[in-house]
Amino acid sequence: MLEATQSNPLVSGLTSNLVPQPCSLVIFGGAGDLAGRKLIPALYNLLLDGTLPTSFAVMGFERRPLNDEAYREFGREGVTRFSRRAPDDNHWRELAGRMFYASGDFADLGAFAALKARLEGIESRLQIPGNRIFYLAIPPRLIGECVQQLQRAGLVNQPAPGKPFSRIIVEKPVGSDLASARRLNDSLAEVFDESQIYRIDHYLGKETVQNILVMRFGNAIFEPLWNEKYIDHIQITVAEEEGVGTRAGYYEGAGALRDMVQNHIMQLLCLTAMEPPYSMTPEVIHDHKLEVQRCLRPLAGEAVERCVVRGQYRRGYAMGIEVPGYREETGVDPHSATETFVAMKVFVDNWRWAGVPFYLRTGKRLPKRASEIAVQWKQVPRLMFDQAGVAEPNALALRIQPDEGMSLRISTKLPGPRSRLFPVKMDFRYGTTFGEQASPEAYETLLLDVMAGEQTLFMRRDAVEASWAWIDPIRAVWAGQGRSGLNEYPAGTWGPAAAARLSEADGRRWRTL
Amino acid sequence: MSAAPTPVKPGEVETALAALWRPAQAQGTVMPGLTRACMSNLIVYCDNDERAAAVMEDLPQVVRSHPARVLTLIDDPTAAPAQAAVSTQRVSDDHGHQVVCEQVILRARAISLCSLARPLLLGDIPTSLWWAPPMAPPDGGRLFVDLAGMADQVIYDSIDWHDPVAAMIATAGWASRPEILTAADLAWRRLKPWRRLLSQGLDPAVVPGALANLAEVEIEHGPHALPQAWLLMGWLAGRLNWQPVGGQVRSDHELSWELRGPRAPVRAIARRLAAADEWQLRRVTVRWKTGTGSLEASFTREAQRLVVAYAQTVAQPRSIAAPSPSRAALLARQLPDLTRDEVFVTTLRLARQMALAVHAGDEQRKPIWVTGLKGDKR
Repeated sequence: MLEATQSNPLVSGLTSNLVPQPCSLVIFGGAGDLAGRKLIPALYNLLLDGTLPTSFAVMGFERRPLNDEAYREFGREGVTRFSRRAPDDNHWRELAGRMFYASGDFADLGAFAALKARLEGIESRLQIPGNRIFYLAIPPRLIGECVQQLQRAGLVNQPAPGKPFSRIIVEKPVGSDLASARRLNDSLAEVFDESQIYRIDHYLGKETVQNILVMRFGNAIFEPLWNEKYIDHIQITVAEEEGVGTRAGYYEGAGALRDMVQNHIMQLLCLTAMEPPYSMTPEVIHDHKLEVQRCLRPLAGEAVERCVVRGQYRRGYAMGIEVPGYREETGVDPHSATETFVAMKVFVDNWRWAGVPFYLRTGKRLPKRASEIAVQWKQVPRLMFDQAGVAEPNALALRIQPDEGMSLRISTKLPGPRSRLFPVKMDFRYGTTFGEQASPEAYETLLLDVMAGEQTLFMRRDAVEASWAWIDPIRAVWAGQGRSGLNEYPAGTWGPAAAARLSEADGRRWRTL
Repeated sequence: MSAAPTPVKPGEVETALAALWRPAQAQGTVMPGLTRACMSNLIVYCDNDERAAAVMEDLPQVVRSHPARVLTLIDDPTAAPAQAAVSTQRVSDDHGHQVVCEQVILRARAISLCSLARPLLLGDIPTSLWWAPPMAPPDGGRLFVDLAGMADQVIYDSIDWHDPVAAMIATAGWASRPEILTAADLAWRRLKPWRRLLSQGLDPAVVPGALANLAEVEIEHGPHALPQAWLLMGWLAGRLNWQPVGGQVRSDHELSWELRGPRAPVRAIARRLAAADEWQLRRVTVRWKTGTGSLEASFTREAQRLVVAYAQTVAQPRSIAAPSPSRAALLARQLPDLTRDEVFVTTLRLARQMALAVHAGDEQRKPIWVTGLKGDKR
C-alpha cells in the first residue's frame, strides 16, 4: 500500500483505500475537447467528494494563447455543461484557484522550460512535493515530441523511493498499427518506466465493465459452466446510434476496427474469456488478459474473408429522421473505403474455449446505442417436453451501457395441462435494484487511480502491441481489397446482410438488443 | 407514487400484497417495465405513533435509494388483537422502469411484534433493523434482542439520545460482542466528511509530524451533537492509540479528558455552543507540538462544506463538500453496507472508556446534558 496509508492511521476505514498523492496534473491539450468535456468535470467531482489530494494543481498547456482566468472560464463552462453534478460557487472557486494555464508550442523547448519554472513556483506555493502527472490529450503524432521535451526540460523523475513521482497518461489510440504503436511505446519508454505509464481505455473505468470480473469470480454458479463443455457461443456488441459526427478527420484514418475492436471490444473479450486470476493486483490481471490475446486464433488471408464482415452505412433513417450516408458526411472522402461496421467470428484457442465462437460486432448508425456481452449456453442434451413449446437455450446478457445490468434467460412451463416451454427473462438492473445512486464517471475513477499509482484499469504495453499484432493482418487484407468487400447497410439498421449470414451460416443468429 | 395503507388481517398480509401487486403488473403490460424491487428486508421498530409518523415520512426516500420490503412495527400496548396494513411505493428509474416496493405496518403489543414480523421476511436477502426510538438499543431489553436476532445489521441514531454517556456505555458493550454482525450509528455516518478531511488535513505529507505529536483536540458542537463529538474523539483515540486516563464534567457545557498518547499526554475537550446548529459539529481544533513550539489546524463547518485552515500557514487551506444529508438519505446509504466496521467498533470501545472515565469523575452520576427534546427534529 501507499506511503500515506502506512503513516496515516486516520485513513483506515474510509470508503476508498486509494490514497491520491499531492500532485500537479499537467494536461497537454488542456483547452481541448477532452479536457472540457471529461477531465475538468471529473476533477470537479473528485473535489466535491473530497478525494482530490490535499495539495493539488491543474496546469493546462497547449498552443492556444489563454491566461489563467480565461482557462478557468473554459473549465467552468465544461463543468456547467458536462459535470454529473452542477457547480456551486464555493467549490468551483476552490478548484479554479488551483487551475493554471501556459501556452506554448510543442517544438519549443523554451516553452517547456517556462512550464517547468511556472510549475515549480506553483508547487512551492501550494506545497506540492514535485509529484507530477502529465496527461497527453493530444494527437498521437505529437506524443513523441512532447515526451522528449518533458525529458529535456527536466520535468521527469525516474521512479525511486522517496523521490517525487512522474506519471504519464496516454489516451487511445495507442498507435494506428503495430509498427506505430511500437514507435510510440518506444518513445514513451525512452523517458518513462512502464510503471509510470498509464494507457487509458475509458471503457475499463466503467462500473459495469469492472463488474464482469465480480460477476464471474464472485459467484459460484457461473464459473463451472463457463467453458466449451456448456457454452455454445458468446456475442459481444458495441453499437452506436450516432454517425461519424464531427470526428470525420480522425475516423477516416481509423475505422471501426481500430476505433473499437482493437481496444474496447478486445478488453471486453479478455475479461470474458480470461482464466481466474489468483489476485487482483495489476500485474496478475494484465498477465491473465494477455494470455487470452495470445490464444486468439490469427485472422489472415482467406480467413478474413470467411470470418470478418466490414460495412459502411449509407443514407437511411434513424429514429424516423433521414440521415446521410457515411460518404456524404462532412469531412469524409466521397470515395472512402473506411469501415463503419465490423462483425467477426473469432476463436480463443485454449482448453477452456476450444471450438467456441466469439461473435463480435460494432458499428455506427445502428438502431440504438447498446453494449453487451451475451453468453449462450448449449441446448439441453435431449428435450423431452412438448415440442409445441419454445425451447430457447439459456443466455446470460451483461449490459454494459445503457441500462446497465444483466439478464438470464431460462425456460419455464407455460401454465396449462401440457408441458409447454416458454423462455422467460430474469432481469437485474443497476438503476432499479440499487435505487438512485450516483456512480462516478469513468474518468473520475481513472484519474484517481493514477494519482494513487493504481494501474489495474490501464493497458500494459505488451497487451496493446498484442492487440495490434492480431488486428494488422486483417487490415492488410482489406487494404488489398479497397472498396470491394465493403458491404453497405442503411443507416438505422443492424448492419449489412453479410453480418447476419456470418452467424446464420453456423446455425446461430445475432441477438436483438 | 404510493397508495394509502390498506388494513388487512395480520395473517393475510402476503395475499393482500399480491393483490396490490396484480393491478400494477397489469399496468406493466403497457409500460416499459415493472420491477418488484427488493434489496433488503427493513424492520423498523417504533415505540409510539409519533415516531411511526416521522418514520413514514422518511420511507419513500429510503426505498427510492434502496428498494426494500419495509415492516414498520408499532409498539402499542392497547393493540389487541394485532393490526396490519399494506401498501406499495412506486417510483420510476431513469429508463422508465417502474419499481414497486412493499410496505407493511404492524401494530401490536411488544410481546407479539416479532412473531408477526418473522413470517413476512423475504429469504435470500439481508435484513436490517432500524431501531428508531431515541434510546440505546440494548435498553430495549428482550424485544430488542429478539428483533436484532432476525437482522443482519442494527441501525440506530445516537443523535437523539437523552443521556449520551449512559447510552454510549450500554451500546458499546453490546456492539463489541463478536456475535453482533453489524451495528451502525447514523451519527457515525454523519462524521464521514469530518473523518475524511481530518485524515487529509493532518496527513504526514501535508503537515509532517502533526499526527504523531498531537497534544490537544477541542471539539465545539451544537446542543444535540454531543454523541457525534464523542464518537469523533473516540475515533481519534482509537486510531492514534490514545488511552483515556481521566474525564471531567467541567461545566454544564464542557467535558474534558486526559489521554495517554504513545509519545505524550493528550488533552481533549468537547464544548457545547448554544449558537451553533443544534445537530452539527461546528469546529475541531487540533494543536501539535513541534521542536520550536506548537502549531494549530482548525476544521470548521461552513454551510455545506468543511474547511481546514492552518494558523501558521503551514499548509494551504482546503475544503470538501459536506452537505447535511437527511436521516432518510443516511439510512439508505447504510442499508447496503453490511460489513462489520471494525474502525467503528474500536471507536465505540474507546468512547465507552471515555464515558466510564467521565462517570468515574462525576460523583453524582447524573445524566449529562439531557436534551429535553423528544422526537426527531431533523
